[in-house]
Amino acid sequence: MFNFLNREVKAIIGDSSLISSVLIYFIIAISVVNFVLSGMTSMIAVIAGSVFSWIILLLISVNFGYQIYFRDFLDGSIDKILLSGCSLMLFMLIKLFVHWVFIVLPLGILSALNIKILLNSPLSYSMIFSLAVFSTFIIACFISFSTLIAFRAKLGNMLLGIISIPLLMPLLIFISAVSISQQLPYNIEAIFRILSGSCLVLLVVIPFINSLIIKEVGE
Amino acid sequence: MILPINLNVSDLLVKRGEIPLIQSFSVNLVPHDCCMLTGPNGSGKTTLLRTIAGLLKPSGGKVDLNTDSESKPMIAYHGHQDALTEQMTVIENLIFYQKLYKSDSGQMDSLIQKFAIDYLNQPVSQLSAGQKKRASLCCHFLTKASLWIFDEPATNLDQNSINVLTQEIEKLKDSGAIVLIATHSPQIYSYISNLNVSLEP
Repeated sequence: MFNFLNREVKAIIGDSSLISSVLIYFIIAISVVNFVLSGMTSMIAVIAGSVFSWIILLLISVNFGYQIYFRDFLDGSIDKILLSGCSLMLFMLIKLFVHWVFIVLPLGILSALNIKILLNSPLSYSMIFSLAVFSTFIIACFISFSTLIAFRAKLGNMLLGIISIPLLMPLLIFISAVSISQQLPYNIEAIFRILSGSCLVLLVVIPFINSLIIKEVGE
Repeated sequence: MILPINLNVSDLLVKRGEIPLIQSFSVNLVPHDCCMLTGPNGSGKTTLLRTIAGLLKPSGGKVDLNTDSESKPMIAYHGHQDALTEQMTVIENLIFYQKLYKSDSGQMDSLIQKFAIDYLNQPVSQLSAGQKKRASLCCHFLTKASLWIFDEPATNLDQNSINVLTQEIEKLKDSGAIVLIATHSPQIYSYISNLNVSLEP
């Protein structure tokens, strides 16, 4: 397990082109959001800022997440891992975890900090932070298996895009949460429960599905 | 210790889309066999090797690895790609595969010496094609497999490395493994192979 973890962490930290591309993309996008929000009233700005931040995370996940999963196919190491008899499910779980920790989660936290600094709203800050922790994992899960299907099916980004549509679900949940919380703050707990439950289910289901995709779908 | 196996491939059919790449291919190999696979580009050598390795599903026919033991025989597949993580150094890649295959560090040190890998601390991204190939072969030989599959292993190698490669393949053959090699340079392996299969496109 630590062998895989060590490899994935080194691979992602060593990929300076990926990290810099993600950061540049994020900075440009968040600057545009801040510019747009500066002309809005506080209530609308909270909702719009949150939604925009989510869209940015979504786009970054779709545009950059696939590189992490493609690497093993392109360099041929997935063949060796498959034949080594080790747990493919564990391997996929670690890939997913490292992708989430190093790419998606930091950007989720940065988005939350941005809203906090820009709007000075404790409610939106805590909400975005908490939702970032749960929902970015859901995004990472969807990205991982849609990428694998797209790669194996050799249909490219179009299929990836179509399969990634479920990614919009956390966004919709988030919009509902923001709207509801303005009147009934305790409903947020229910949203968190749903999100954390989904994360736990996906934690088991996604690596399993991913390993099946690799094993069962021929080239 | 290598688990002795028999490889039986019968009436194999592999298609890409609707186009058959391999048709009615059969071969039986026993321990100590070294089979050389030749044929022009596009004749299906790589497809055949990947199917035998279990990385591709055949459209028809069977690939059986028969053994008297209850444990599952291991397959080692060395394809066109180097299977090295570009962001890691050579030694980090070697250690990853050593742990993956649960081989001992003495074996790794011996292979490092044989393949003359004196660039252990260099990132893979900075290596030449030949250096990558040597490192990749070094990782590959850490396996303890019963069936060894090589897809053009001598590509980009200098003469010294080719000599080391053929010596290692000969050792595998002597220890009871089955070796399958796809190549465009049959003269390299002619003295160790006892079977030559030619594929037509």
